[in-house]
Amino acid sequence: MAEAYVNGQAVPRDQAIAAAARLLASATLPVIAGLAADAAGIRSGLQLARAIGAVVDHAHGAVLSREAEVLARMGSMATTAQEVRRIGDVLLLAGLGDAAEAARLLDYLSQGAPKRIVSLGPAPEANAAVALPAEGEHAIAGALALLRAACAERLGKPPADYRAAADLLRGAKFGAAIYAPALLGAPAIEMVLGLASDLNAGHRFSTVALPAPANGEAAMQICGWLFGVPLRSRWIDGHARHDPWRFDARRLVEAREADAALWIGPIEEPPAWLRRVPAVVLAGRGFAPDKMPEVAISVGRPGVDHPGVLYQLATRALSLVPASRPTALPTSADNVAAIQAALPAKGSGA
Amino acid sequence: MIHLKGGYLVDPVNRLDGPGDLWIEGGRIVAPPPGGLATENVDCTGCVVMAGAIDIHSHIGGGNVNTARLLLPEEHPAALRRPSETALSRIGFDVETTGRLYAEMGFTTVIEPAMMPSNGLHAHLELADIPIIDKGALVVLGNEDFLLGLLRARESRSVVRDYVSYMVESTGALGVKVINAGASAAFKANARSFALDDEVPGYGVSSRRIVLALQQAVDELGIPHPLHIHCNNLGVPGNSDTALATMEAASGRPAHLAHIQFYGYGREGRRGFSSAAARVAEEVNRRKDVTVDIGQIMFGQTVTISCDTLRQFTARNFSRPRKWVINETDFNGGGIVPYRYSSSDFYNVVQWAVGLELFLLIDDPWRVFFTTDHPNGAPFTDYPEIFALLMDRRARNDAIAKLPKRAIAMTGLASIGREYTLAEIAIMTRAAPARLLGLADRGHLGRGARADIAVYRRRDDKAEMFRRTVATIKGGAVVVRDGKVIAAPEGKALVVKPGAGTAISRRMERYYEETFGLSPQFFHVDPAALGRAEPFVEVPCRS
Repeated sequence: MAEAYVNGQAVPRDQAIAAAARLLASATLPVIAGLAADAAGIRSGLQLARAIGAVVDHAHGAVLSREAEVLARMGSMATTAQEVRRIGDVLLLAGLGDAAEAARLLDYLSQGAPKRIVSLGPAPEANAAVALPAEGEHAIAGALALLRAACAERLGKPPADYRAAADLLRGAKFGAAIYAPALLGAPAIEMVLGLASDLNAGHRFSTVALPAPANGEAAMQICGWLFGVPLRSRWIDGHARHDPWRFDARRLVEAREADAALWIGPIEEPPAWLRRVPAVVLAGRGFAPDKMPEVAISVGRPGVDHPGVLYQLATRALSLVPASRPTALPTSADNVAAIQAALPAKGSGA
Repeated sequence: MIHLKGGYLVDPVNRLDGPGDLWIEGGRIVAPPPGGLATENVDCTGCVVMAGAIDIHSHIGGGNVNTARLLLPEEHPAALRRPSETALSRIGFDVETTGRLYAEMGFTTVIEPAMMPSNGLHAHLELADIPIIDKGALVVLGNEDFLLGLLRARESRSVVRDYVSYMVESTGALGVKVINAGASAAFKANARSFALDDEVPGYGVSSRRIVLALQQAVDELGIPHPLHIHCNNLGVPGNSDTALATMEAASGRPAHLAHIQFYGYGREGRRGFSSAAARVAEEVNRRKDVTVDIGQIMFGQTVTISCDTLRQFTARNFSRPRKWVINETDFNGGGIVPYRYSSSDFYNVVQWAVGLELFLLIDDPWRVFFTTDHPNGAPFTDYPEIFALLMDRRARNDAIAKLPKRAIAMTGLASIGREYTLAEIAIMTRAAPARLLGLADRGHLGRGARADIAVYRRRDDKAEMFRRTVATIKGGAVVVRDGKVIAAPEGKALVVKPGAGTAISRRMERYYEETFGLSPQFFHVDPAALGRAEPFVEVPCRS
């Protein structure tokens, strides 16, 4: 990818910035999506959204929203992977699946204190003490409910494997349920959190969630402090409005409610549905779709081309990640700021 | 040059308590120019002029505050069909409103008292987005495996000192706070209560030892702000014993006890809950090396935010609405529990009275600080009402008259006649905080002082007077005019750099690699990561 394209033609960056600003400023309902960037890139996107009244959503907004809704409904009890590695003695793998991130997390956890494992889900962990097979979102939610009831002794005579699992969980000194919100429905997530909370009546138990990819947790946090509400929100008349259905970027595009989009995506390229709307795409150098969006601008990848603040799996916190192969490519934040500076004056509706 | 003309200056540091003008240039208060010409005039006729206020303990940024935002979207104005007042809209639950609301009340420096090291970068990014006001953060130590391991091994005090210094510098802190020392670690081992002489299971280290080790390290490093102590047993009936025992333990070196209202409780009466404010105040009056802030509660909906995970876990059963978060980390972690203080609730009314009693019974305004432990006791936007309760006995008696007599009778509040003077308010909210934090150029109106200034219209209704300034000046720029923000420059973060040793740095590298497979760099706050020109201002340590 060259530096920048407008309507598929390579142009100088300034020209693409100006075209991007025109496209976004003339829209009735712009969306700023992706936000698959470092903290600075996310922040710049949210600030631009405040200025032009754009909807904000993340590349993994569906998962993030599910987690946010569960949080707002019931709260949560959670800990960090690093602490489970150090002191965790019992793990409940709750519908974890066998994705690479899950394997990486389990490998990380296994290097600390020895652990006994209850594995609930479609692909039981090989060295699990107890395996509770369940496949599919609903079966997993049901199995979790059964396990929770067994732990709370609400079942007269639980199935033997559930009794064994409950005994193991209830005997934990510091246990943790490990789950991937992307693989569970909201009822199952609530069941994991409720189970962990219940177990604390006797011993200590908590949870660790696999974070959403593409710096999604960082996007949620930054939206929290700049907008005061979770992602899938819009700044209107000096107030943030939050509605996880109404401000779902994909729905807005597919329903043709949105008439322009900015995808900030050095970490993750735009999905196919973005092609349905006139779009500005900020992407890493490898971006080469079949059909170029209206405006495409190449940006540095955080942690590769330039240092960037990224959410960390082990610590559940933001850290500065140095550049692994530094280049002079401008950052997402630089480009978004340039677009905001190039907006016509009337665009500042905040 | 800005000319503040015809005001009434109140500055106890420079013994100003009368009519006078101020001149501002280059961000500083300067001598009157020979010609007397200014480019900008602020008419201060009928106004009281003070230094910008400094809030030493207000949870305005960092992971836990944000979790509260995400836990309570329905309390945000966004949840209403048409934006208007909701319970938490008063707090300004996004960073921009936080800065604006503080500036409109004449506050120009605010300290976030609970920055967990693991959240240091998050906290600084969030604080940097709060406009206008300058910020500082206290780093929370005292529950982490590394420090407890040092104490268990009875390592020398210089090692502990190096560790504290390393953590302060690495996280960009202005000082150190300890929160229920050892209790979060004990909670991980299934403790459900934790007192000063309880030992953390597996370490054989008592809460007392942790507090004293940190207090000594902070003092010896010359960090201006003494160790900021959140004692054990917060909120527990009879816990004035804990406050007194902590003061006794910490005597001989400076110590700051946070939100002391939450430790002002006795066990008298049918419900076993009463005010012990007089006893606590007497002890504070006697011990000259102790400072306290109050943590006043006010009635209404709020959300409690604390790194005291053990206490917040217990408090979860009182959550209103019924939801709560407990996040645990290698450090303290955090607990977020929404709560509603009710003026018809016996316990809440006693708490309200205890806070006011402590304000009024502690004689020395240099050693008692004005806080609500925002948002734990009340949102900071309730400050004007609290000024009125302190300055106006009639307003206080009117408020008392509306509350259940049975609760008020368990306190001594009704018999106290004291009214705070303007000069005492200026000490408590300006001069004393500046001294406590080592900010020599703030909290007063002398020549050379930083031009952080608040101008209030003089009124009988003190709540009205302190709700909005006529003008707020921050760093020499007029940022508020007639109660409205007109400019929102970026504030800075105040940090200390006590000088960290390299030996401890190597040792921590090894510990973090072996224990967590991580580098301690993960919590290092690199100013470059904040994306701003010179985000930090260094506050000198005592030499």
